[in-house]
Amino acid sequence: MAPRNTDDPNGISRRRFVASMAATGCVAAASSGVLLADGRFVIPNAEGFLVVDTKKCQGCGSCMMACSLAHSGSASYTESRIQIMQDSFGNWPDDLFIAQCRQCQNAPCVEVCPTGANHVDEANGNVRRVDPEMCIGCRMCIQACPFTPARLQWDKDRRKSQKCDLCVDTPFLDEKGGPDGIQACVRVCPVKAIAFTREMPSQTLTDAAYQVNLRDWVWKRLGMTAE
Amino acid sequence: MSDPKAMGLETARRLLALVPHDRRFPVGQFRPPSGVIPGFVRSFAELEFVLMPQQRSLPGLHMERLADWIENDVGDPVGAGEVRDAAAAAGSYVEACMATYERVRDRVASARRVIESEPEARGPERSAR
Amino acid sequence: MTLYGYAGKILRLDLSAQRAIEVDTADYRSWGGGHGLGSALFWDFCRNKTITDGRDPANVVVVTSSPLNGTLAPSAGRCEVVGVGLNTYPVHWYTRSNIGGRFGTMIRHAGYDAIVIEGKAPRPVWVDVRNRKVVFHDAADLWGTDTRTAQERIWQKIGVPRDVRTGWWNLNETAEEALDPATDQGRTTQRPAIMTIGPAGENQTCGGCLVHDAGNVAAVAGFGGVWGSKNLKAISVIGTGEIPVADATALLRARAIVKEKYTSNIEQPDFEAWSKIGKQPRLMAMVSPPTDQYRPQACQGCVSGCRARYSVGYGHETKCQVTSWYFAPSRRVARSAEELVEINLRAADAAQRSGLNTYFALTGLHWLEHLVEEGLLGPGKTIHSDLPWEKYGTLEFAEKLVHALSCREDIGADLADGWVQAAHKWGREEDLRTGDMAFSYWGQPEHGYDPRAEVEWGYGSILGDRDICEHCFNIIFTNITAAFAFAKPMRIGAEELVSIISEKLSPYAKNRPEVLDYSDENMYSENVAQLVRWHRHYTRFYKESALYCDLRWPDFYNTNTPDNRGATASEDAGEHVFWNAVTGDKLSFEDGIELGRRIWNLDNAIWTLQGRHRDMVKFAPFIYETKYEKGELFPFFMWPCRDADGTWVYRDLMGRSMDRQKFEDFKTSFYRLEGWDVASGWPTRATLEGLDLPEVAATLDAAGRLGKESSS
Repeated sequence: MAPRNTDDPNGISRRRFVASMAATGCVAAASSGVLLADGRFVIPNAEGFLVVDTKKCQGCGSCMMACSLAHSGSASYTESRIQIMQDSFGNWPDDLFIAQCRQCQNAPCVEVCPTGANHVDEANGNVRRVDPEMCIGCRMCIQACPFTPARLQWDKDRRKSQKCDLCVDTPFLDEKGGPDGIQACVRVCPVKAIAFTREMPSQTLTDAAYQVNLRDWVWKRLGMTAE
Repeated sequence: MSDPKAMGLETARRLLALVPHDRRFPVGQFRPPSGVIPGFVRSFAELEFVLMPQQRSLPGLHMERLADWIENDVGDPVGAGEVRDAAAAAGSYVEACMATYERVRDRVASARRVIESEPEARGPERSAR
Repeated sequence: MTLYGYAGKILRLDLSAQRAIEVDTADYRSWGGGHGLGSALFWDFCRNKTITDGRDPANVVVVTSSPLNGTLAPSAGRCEVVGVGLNTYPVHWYTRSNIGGRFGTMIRHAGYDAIVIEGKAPRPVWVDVRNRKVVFHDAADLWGTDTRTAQERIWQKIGVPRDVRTGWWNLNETAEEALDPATDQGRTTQRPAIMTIGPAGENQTCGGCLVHDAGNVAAVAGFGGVWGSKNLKAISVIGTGEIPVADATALLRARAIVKEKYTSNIEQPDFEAWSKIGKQPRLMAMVSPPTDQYRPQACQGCVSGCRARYSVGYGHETKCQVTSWYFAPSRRVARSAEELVEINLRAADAAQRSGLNTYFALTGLHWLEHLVEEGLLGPGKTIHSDLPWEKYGTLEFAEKLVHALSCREDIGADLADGWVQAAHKWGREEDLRTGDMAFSYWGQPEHGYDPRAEVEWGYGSILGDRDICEHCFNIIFTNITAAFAFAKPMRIGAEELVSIISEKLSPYAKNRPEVLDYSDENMYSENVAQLVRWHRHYTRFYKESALYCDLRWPDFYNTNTPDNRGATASEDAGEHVFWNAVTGDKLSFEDGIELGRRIWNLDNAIWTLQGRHRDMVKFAPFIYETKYEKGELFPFFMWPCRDADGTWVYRDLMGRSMDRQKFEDFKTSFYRLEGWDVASGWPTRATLEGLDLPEVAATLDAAGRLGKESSS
């Protein structure tokens, strides 16, 4: 999984945007990010993360359906914030991959957003999320995501980017979502292959720290390896 | 438990040979909840696979008739007696199957040892692949 | 107006002209989806409904989804196929088949609720459907390939990334298309869902299946052979569309209730729970898994996967009978339990790749061995065969048999047109009398739930069009028989069990537990006729149109709940609750049963036009003339029965046969209850008009096949 270059020399990056806003004393209004003197863009850590067990997932797609239903009220794979990819002919465990947003510590998608639509939600556990009202559909956040597949989605009908918000903004869920509530994908998964944690996984350019072993004695009793 | 030394070559051959098709013994395989699969066996060796304990399926056979089949069609009254005794002592059908499996497994192993000890009795190995 | 739960369009594929035509789903909304929608489309677009050969170019095959596919309705990810099949005797009935996986879901994201396949292509084609763009492609380079190769080549042609980690791919053909909101097709991480045929279908055999992914198969109807006759190799569907849902909140809530109330907690599960919906994922293979290195693999939206993908590279997604079609022969040659498993899973793969139905093997393989052992079949014998019968039981033999049956070679030349048909050709009618050839209903092999014992299965099959393969009540047998085998106490006693089930048999048998009395005294009664009616109507709508999975629904009783009541028909997570949340309907559970009755009647009208008469509705002779012997499959076959004093008990039903005249009397009861002519079994005008099917009545009338009204 090759990281991508997050700097777009031709675009208006978040870093340049924050720098210019800082020059006019407008940083606080634009985002929770702070541009340090050494050029690093710093944002507060998220207070919640999704981790997955790709060896346990049964590939039913229920998490994808629940995600789009909770957020938009319709059933769509394309607009799910979590993506399950499978090859029916592949061999376990390489036959399936789960791509969920990592709520990155440095969040290149937040950094690159020119309008502040993609922001840190301090009222909801510092979740990185896109405000659709502010999104101008430039897709720079999608390009900035260093992971494959990109963990942001393009909503072709609304011409906006979107991403996992840990279910902060889920008008169709009748329970509280977000880091202090539930997440639709975790809630619906029949085999508990997705878990919510407050402990930030190690920040590397692979998904390894976000892929955990959620199999236990029950799994073993059902006939499958817990190793 | 059978004493392999007590098994003669003729009995060993009978145990491992196929009985004629018209003397086949009906067996099923029950896998809740997907169903029952029909079949039959014509040798002790096949019977061992039928009875081998599996995590989620059960062999389907008529215990009393099995003992009769072993005695009359396979020609192994000793094995038939062992199966009758094992089944009678069992507290359930599943226990009867497991006890019978042990007897059948031992009889097959004994028969193979007897055959192995008689080089001229061995036939060509049959490949399953 | 938003058509909640639907993509909104139906695709007609005119293969003769290689033309795609769209129809509005709204016109067919009253049929729900799945089978009902398919039967209505067949009725409208099959111009000659008297055909009795599935290979007739006039035949129409409909592949249909349900509003519930891909919506989170639990275990409702199936896809229905209807049309005149290839796998019944004495004629090819209008029939159905069902397939899992992703196809039903992906059709809808591609923009369609159903695909109607008409005519015959002049040469082999495959069809690429992407977001309502339909392209016919020459399939010359795919014809002759197995089902896996065909799917992998199509993915390659479409340009789908091979590695599951490669990620998003763009459905737009040009960069400009992506920039224009009106034309942007979007992007997806999913690979196209492909339904294809293998050599067994191309050669138009009765065993030809439709195969999707590694192990999803629509098998019993022989629709693969029908596609072969139409020169249709494959249909690929992919899309980025969304399905509008009427009440997503209610849908999410009901799904959570299934998990939290009706399903055993996965952290402390009750492994032996009596339930259909409330079980943990568990491999449904008939052989042990070859390794513990595997995942459960589920159809889209399923709560409990029943298949597997393994590390070993074979046996993927294959389950149930397919994993053991070769079990009995392989026992003869395997030298270890591990080898036995490998032979069987590789034999399963051979059949899946060839696109060959393996149900023939349930009893047919034993019949072939019988013929070989009787000296009738083999090299130079009356029935000539050059297959290496001396290697019977080896994987090599299995693969050669699959090839012969798929390619009309050797004995496959005769068996390709039907096993019972071959028996007649070979002069072996007697085997249907003795049971050496145990093909019980419409020329299809006995499923294992013999009509002489499990009456609702047999009656439902012969009164319909095929081996029903609907395990709604069969779960009773499996639960109590397993408990007896282990000498465990019953989780639910007989009286409580029939009481709970009958609470849910609305409307015909609500709170009438006597319909579940399987005893000798009750097996031909009007009680059982009501049970069979309910079963036919329930399945026609909920299972085959709403497309709930047969293995997970109905959930009559459920030991995960305090009162042992299951989810079926409940007001918090019943079948209709999900239907209403998705579609916005206000269907009661009984409304769904009534819609099933409407669909069932339309099907009977089609059978009637095809030439069915009650005189044809009979089992194979061995069902009447021999007993279902104890130990034939299992030492006991337990069902609820009433004793002479009315006490409910679980009783062994082996050892009985079917009484011909009493079964005829049963048919009369059934026809009367259905409002059909008891002399012919044909629907009557009053019944059809009562179901708002006046045009169907008119068509039957014009054909001289409208049933006579009852004089009483």
